[in-house]
Amino acid sequence: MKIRIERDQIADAVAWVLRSVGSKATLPVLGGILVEASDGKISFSGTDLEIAGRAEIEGAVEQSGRAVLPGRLLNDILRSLPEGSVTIEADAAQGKITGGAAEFTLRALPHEDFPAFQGLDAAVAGVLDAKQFLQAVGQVVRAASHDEARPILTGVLIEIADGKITLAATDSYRLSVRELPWSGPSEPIRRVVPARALAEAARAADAESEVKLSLGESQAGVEAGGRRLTTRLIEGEFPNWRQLVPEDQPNKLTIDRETFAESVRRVGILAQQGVPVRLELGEGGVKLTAGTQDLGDAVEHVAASYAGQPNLVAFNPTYLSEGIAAIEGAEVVLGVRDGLKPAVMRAPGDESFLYLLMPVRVS
Amino acid sequence: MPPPNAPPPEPFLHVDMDAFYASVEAKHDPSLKGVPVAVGGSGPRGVVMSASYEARKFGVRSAMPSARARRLCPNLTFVSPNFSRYKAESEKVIEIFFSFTPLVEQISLDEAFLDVSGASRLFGEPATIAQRIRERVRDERELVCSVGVAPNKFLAKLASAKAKPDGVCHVKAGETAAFLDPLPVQDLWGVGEQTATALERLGVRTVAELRALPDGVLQRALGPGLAGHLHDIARGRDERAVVVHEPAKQVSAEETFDTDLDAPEHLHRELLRLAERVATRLRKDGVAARTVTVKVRFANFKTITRSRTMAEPSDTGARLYATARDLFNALPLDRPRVRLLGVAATGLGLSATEQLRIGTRPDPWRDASAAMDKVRTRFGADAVDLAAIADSEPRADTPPRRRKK
Repeated sequence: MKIRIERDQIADAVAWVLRSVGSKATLPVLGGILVEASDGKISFSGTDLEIAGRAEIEGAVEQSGRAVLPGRLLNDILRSLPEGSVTIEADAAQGKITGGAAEFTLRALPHEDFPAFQGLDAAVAGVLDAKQFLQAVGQVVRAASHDEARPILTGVLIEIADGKITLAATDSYRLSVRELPWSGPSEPIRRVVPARALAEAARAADAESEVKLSLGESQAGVEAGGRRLTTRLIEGEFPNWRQLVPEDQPNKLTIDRETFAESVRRVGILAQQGVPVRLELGEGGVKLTAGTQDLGDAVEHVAASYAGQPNLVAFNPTYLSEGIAAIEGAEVVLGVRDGLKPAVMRAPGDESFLYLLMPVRVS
Repeated sequence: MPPPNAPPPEPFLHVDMDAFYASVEAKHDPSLKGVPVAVGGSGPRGVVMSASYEARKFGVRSAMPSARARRLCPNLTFVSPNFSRYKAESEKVIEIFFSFTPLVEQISLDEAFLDVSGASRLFGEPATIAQRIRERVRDERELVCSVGVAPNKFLAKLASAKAKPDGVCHVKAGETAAFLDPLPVQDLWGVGEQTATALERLGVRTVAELRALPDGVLQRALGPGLAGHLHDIARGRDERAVVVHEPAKQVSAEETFDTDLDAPEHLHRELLRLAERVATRLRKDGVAARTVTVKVRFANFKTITRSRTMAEPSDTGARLYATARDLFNALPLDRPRVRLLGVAATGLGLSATEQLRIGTRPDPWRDASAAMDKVRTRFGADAVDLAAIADSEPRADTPPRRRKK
């Protein structure tokens, strides 16, 4: 195999594959990146057996073939080479990488050991607007759990029904839900995709206009601009989030998003180590406070319109900030019942996104 | 004329909040304003902890059995105590004191000594400061306090009692004898019922009479220690300085067993009992703990401690116990013989919080503990306990009896 490509192109592709796959590799060969070349197409693949990433780019293929090269080394070398074209010449035993006046020879990994890519099984596939998809994933993945003790909550629920696709994630403290129009096959389907894989997949869609989403029985795939990420699904029953969202909130604060975010960030300086930010809601707006005996107090009033009874609700400042950041638009509507019941944030008049947040009990 | 920079002759203030608990309750619930209110337990064994001045007109006093208070004042409204509310209010009031002088010694939630020797340059004479403190407490906290101004702590405390309600009493350095002489000896610090009876046998009822008593007579009747103390305070002498307290850094409880324990269920039950004791104390002080420490002393006197910091500060026995039990179970022990167990709570700077979970009820122990506190206030400390503890009557096997101190 012998190929020649622009350094930026190949370096980006290899970096994306490496990051998508992560570093959970247990077999030596899984630390490698499979380079394949034929018919003017060059692809880079990596996998940790749960997630597989593949980036395809165009370049000059002087001799087709395949080789597995150590991923991290390959990545470091490509990043360090000067701009211009890079040549890779490889066989089963070794790979030679040349760029500018530098030449590296790497021992290759046995490519017969590299796991073969399986096609998606009985996939339901559809095309989404890349920008919307990227935004939706960004809105929901933060609410996903990192606690491996409950694997189902480390995933994002993808539901297709009634011409809509819904993404939902929860770590049991908050719940983030986003709806997008769906033009693919309309039969209802529910799948849970690892949040990390979805976030990496969305990154591949960054510069593209469309993204193709495929949902199989045990795998899901996201494809955009020559990059494809395949991931196993998480098995188990995702909580029925619809019954957790309160139908109506008797008290509503409508507040400028930027101002609210800034204020939470400022007051949050004194909400460290699990100390919540308290929101005193009342006519004229909200008073934010935080503090401890040892450190001191922070207080800030933000003028806003409030409809309802005066209320005190406290939140984890990080969860609150992430919710505010996830809202699109100039204003946020924060609906609450009391200090013990879930609060819900939306953009005014926007039913396509909601962020539910459990308070911190302080009394 | 004293030189301009000399310390004032009466630099000690004793600030005592008037009917503090009752006033805080009335501030919280305006319907209680102007009516007879008692904070305390209303049950048959309940005791009045604080009475509003309207209630006092009927003879209702602190520490009086609630049943008697009700007989004296049939319209009395009883309010269960909310210590976290009093604690929060107390902190705000203490802040006002600290804005006048760094030398503040808090005695309880509703009284404090202040040494304002260094404050007169900035804020005026001690009597002026007393008045300004009272104004600020009234304006900023909507509460009333009385202040005694005197040459020492002992006299300041007597003066504030005299100043009540809603007043200032200034005992000048040259007038201490005149102030003390008519007071009954029971008003003196250190004179309890027994001492008063002993003094009465000597024909002494007032401070004037006490001071007239020869030292030898006093010493034979009361012993040299108490006699010396009374000799001094009858002359208005008290050398104690205002001591600024650091807030408690830890709350702990430990138990040495009559017979070494080795059964895990007994050890766990003792941990629960200790955790519950610590938690009750935390709630009473209106604080919560971030870190739990377990102390284990074995039969051979080897002692170990293990600590863990919890995700959230807590003040319930159940949470503290869960952490204590995990720490204990993590010890690599095979049926150890345990002589002593201890549970300590530290990291007390924060109040208890609980990040609620979607679709899950709040920790029921928060409400259960609050309910237990109320029952204990009404019916006494032994009135209620966790079933798991109450169940631990001595049994035929290793009975977990406690060693008397």
